[in-house]
Amino acid sequence: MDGLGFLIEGIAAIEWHHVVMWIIGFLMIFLAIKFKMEPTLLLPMGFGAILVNIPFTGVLNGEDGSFGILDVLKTVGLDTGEIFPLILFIGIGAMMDFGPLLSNPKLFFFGAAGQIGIFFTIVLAALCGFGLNEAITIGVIGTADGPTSITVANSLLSGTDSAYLISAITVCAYSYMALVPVIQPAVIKLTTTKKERMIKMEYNPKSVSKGTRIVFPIVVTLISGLIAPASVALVGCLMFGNLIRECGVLGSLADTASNVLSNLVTIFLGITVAAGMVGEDFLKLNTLIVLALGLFAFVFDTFGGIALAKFINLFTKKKINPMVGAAGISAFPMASRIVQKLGIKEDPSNHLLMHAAGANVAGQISSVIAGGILMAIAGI
Amino acid sequence: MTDLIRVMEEGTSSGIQLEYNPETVLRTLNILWQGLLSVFIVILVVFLVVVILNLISAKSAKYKEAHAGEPTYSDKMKEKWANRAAAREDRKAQRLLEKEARKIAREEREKQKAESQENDENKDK
Repeated sequence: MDGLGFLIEGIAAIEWHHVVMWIIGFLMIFLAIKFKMEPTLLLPMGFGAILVNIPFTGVLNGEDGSFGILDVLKTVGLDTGEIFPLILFIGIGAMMDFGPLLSNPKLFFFGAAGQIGIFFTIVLAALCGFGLNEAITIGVIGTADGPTSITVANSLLSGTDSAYLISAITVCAYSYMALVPVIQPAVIKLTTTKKERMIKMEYNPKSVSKGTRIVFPIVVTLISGLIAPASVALVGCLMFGNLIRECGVLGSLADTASNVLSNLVTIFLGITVAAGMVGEDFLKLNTLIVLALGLFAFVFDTFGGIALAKFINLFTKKKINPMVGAAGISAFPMASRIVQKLGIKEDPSNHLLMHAAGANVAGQISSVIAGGILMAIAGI
Repeated sequence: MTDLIRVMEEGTSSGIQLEYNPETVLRTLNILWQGLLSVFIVILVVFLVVVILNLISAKSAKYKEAHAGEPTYSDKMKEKWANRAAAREDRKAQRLLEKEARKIAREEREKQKAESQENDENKDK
């Protein structure tokens, strides 16, 4: 029977953190399937969390020098230039329609205000005792943007003692993005009055010329690149995807980027991020603190947009519905849908979708710019 | 739960210890205003550029509307280039004609020359 001892080696090596991570993995898969919460990422991540927490797993590099697929993918796709999130940005850019934003450029400022949570969270993380780079990466959860969070976290933490936080930050960013339909209505209801939520906003769609649509991604790349060169990779990939979409002569490429390419990268990204979810490193008190700080960042982002709308309303005759400000985060298109739903709930004739969509894409651009600026400030 | 937290604090090999550092907090306060200001500055610049682009396209649309039916600048340019191309073709054809005329004249002269030479030779005989 001694010869068959290897059959129970794996079972005998199970420790408490393996079991906890399996439960977390199952929970992520359950949330993805049952409640359709960011299933494209939560499902691969949940399955990956189970894979990497099987004792003596073969998906990670072995101590004997053998290669594991997830570690190899992580090295290629995340550690070496954050290739996966950046390629994903090309796909996201190809999906985005900047029309509502370009026809009402005032909405840009709601995107900027929707990043306030990032910076307050950085201070709060430092108060909790995290180092500067850790605090910055935790704050970046507030971009409400998975690829940006991964890129900044990898740039600042990869190869350091705090590298284990990358997975926590990624999981946190995507989980809260999935929880936007729960977090945002609560914050909106807490910070606005019924009267404010009922403010009607006229929508006068101005046609945006093809030239403006083509010039816009190039100009944004140039401006953000000249002011914060570290943001060029992030902004550049997003805007390149959008240029493919808007140029009008690369229809099949735009279609591939927004469907095939982004789906392909998402599959690899989700399961690769899970390579960092090894229970031994992941289950720390710090991870719980990161989760709490991430929530704080999301709440303050939402509040930032609402506060700006209320501030503008003090000086203007044409009032802005503060809920539109709340849509100025990167979680596209959930944030704008939520605002539309809440608007209709208060007054069935109040359609805020197009305003909210404009603020939402402004949030997408601003979050990428904020990520680049933080990398520049951190000296990357 | 307390046990779990204790195990999570003690039972892991790597990771950072949380330690309050006033210097780091001060730096993050700097990041707070610098970062926020930078984001708003970049967005302000982008906003201004978009406003200018919209103004240009609105003016262009207005101009097109006001001059509907009239030839556009591009049409004028196309016409100008077409005229130039036609003139070039004319000049080319003219040059070819002149060349042909010169050739004919030369041949005529050579013919006359040959005839006069023949006449001279006949006279001599």
